[in-house]
Parts: sequence; structure tokens; C-alpha cells
Amino acid sequence: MNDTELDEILNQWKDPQVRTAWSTEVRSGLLRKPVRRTFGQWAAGLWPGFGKGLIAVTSAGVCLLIATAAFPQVSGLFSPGVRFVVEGETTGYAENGAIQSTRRTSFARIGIHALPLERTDSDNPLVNLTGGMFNLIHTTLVQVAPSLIYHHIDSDLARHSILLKNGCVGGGWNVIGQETILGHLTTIVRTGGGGKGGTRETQWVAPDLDCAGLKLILEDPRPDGTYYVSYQEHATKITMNTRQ
Amino acid sequence: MNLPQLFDEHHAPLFRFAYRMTGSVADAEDIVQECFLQLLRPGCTYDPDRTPIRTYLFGVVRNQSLKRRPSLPEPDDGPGHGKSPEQELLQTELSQVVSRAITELPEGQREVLILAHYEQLSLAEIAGVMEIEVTAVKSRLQRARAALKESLAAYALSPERRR
Repeated sequence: MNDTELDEILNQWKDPQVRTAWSTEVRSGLLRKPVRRTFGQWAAGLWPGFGKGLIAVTSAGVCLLIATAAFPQVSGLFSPGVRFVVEGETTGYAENGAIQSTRRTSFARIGIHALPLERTDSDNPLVNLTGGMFNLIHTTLVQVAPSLIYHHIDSDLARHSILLKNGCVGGGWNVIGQETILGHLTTIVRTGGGGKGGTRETQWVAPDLDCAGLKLILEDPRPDGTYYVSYQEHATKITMNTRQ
Repeated sequence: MNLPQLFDEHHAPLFRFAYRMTGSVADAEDIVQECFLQLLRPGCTYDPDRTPIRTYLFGVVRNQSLKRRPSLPEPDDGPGHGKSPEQELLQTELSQVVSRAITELPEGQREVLILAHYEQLSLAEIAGVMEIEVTAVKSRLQRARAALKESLAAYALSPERRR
């Protein structure tokens, strides 16, 4: 076979056309204007220790909040930036199905980010309190100076914009159904597994809640190729911020 | 940097490259999307004085594609452009044979062949994308073509397949 014959044969491998819908969605996501430098970014540029200073000041404020009975946090944290709070439960499983851990969780949605508010180990109050304080500081900082927390805010916004336009279905995800959870229609999507090995992830994402996940199941592969549920997370209550 | 314009200019060849590397349309779309989103990140390492944008983008897509195990490409169910069912069948079969033969090449040879033959990148550009010497690119390309001449030999001898 000569080179020309080989080239002719290689040209028989046809590639699929680029989907117009996909390219339009990605392009529109890239059209978003970059987020302006916030005061937090500007100050951090001038004084690298600004972030730490801010954290210290905010921590003091948050501690005061805690001391004045702002804890538990879920109801007290409702601010104009929070659209809703999702409370839920998580369970970890061993391969034989035995429960390894259970937790209560809650997260708020501020813009495109899900912020953990509570992560409660039922048998460890000290960890619960420490975790609660950390989450309060984190959430406060997100509202005061988001750029200190989220370093990739532009690409995050673009990615989220594409995700919303796609009905919360990301690239490489397979839609396997729909289900209504706590009054919100969710799309069930699956990633991973599918013959490639590794953990298989199934998520229930709600388009009307900015693609928040209301349920999550992780399945780990066994050596024989079957899967077992290793982790499950599901929402138990959704509280909308009616002050918006 | 005008990202939408860059996207318009480069997304199609990048998609083709990612598709040929991974064999999956969904993976290819995901990889190309992430490639452009990387340029939005404040920590993006792209330096236009050091690397042409095309080389940089192909490099990002290449790195992402290598993280995903290649599978045999999905069958193309597009229109047949007036071909008879027999010709369609032959072409689909040949397309799959070629893709399988390329997928079975060693990784380095496969990348070089796809970039050189299908994307028409120069040896110097491929060297930039893969961060290797031009001589290594040349050598891999020669070996890839030699291997394909052998594995696809049967298909060059059949005139009806080439119509």
C-alpha cells in the first residue's frame, strides 16, 4: 500500500457534525462579561493579608452571632442573597449494605453556589459546633466578599449558565428519567460507570432550583463488575426565602 | 482575548480531535467546553507571547482526552448523500475498521496521526501540542503510518470499497 492509498482509507473515518445547539450554548456562556474586581479582590491585591484579616474580623462577628443565639443557623441566615435552603440526610454504606455513617446536612443557595450550613454528626456535638461555626464564617464571607472564596467565579458562572440552558444536564451526563422531590421536578442524570469502571454517580437535579441536587447516590464497583450503593444523600425539606 | 471569536474559529477542529481521541461525542463536547472555560480562569497559564493559541487549545484538549479511556467511536447515523444502501454499509464498515485500527495504535502514535492527518497540523505544531521534539513527532508519524498500512492492507486491495 502506498501513501496515497493509505490517505484514501484514512479519509473514510467520518467524524460527526458539531451539534449547533451545543455550540450555541457554549458560545453564549462565553459571552458573559467577566465579573468586575470586587473590593475584596482589590484589597487582597494591595495587601495579601487582607483575606486573613477579614476572616479574623468576620470570625469575631460570627462568634458574637453564635453567642446571641443565632445558632442554629438555618432560619437566621436568610438574607436577600439566599434563594432557598435545602435540609437533608446522608448515609454511607459498606459493601455488605451495613450503614457506616449518617449525617444531617443543609445547604443554602447563593447565586450559583451551594453553601453548606450544617453538617451534623449525630454522636459528636463538638464537631457539630465547630463545623457549624466554620460554615457560618464561610457563608458570611461569601456574601461579604465572594471573590475571596470563589477564585474561578467567571468560569463558574459561564459553566452554570450553560448548565441552566441545558436543563441542568452537563456534558457526558446521561439522562435516565425524571422524578418530583418535595414538589420540585428533578432530572435524573448519571455520570461515570457505563463500562469505564470507577464510581457511578446518579443525581436528581432541579432546574427550578438553579440545578441544585436534591438526591445523590454513589455506587462503587465490585470486582465482578456489579455495583453497590456506597453513599446516599437526599433532601428532607426545602425552605424558600420569601423575603426576596 | 475575544473568547466567542476564538470559539467560533477553533471549536470545530477541537471537537473533531477530541472525538477521534475519545470516540465519544458527549466526551468531546465536554472536553471542548472545559477547554474554553479554562481561558476564563484568573489562574489560566496561557501566554500568547510563548504559545500560539491554536497550539495551546489543542494541548488542553489533548490532556483532557488522555484522561478518558478511548472507546470505539459511535456509529455515524448521518445522511447518506445519495449513496446506495450497499455503499452506505461498506462505508460505515470501513469507517469503523479505520477508527478501530487507529484506536489500537500506541497512544503517542495515535495522537500524532490524528493531529497530522485529520487536523493537518504541521510537525512543529504537533511538537508544541505534545511538548516533544519534532524528530520524535516525525518518527511516531512514520511508525503509525507503517502500522496502519499493515493493519489496513486488506482494504486497499478492494476497488469497490474505494468508490
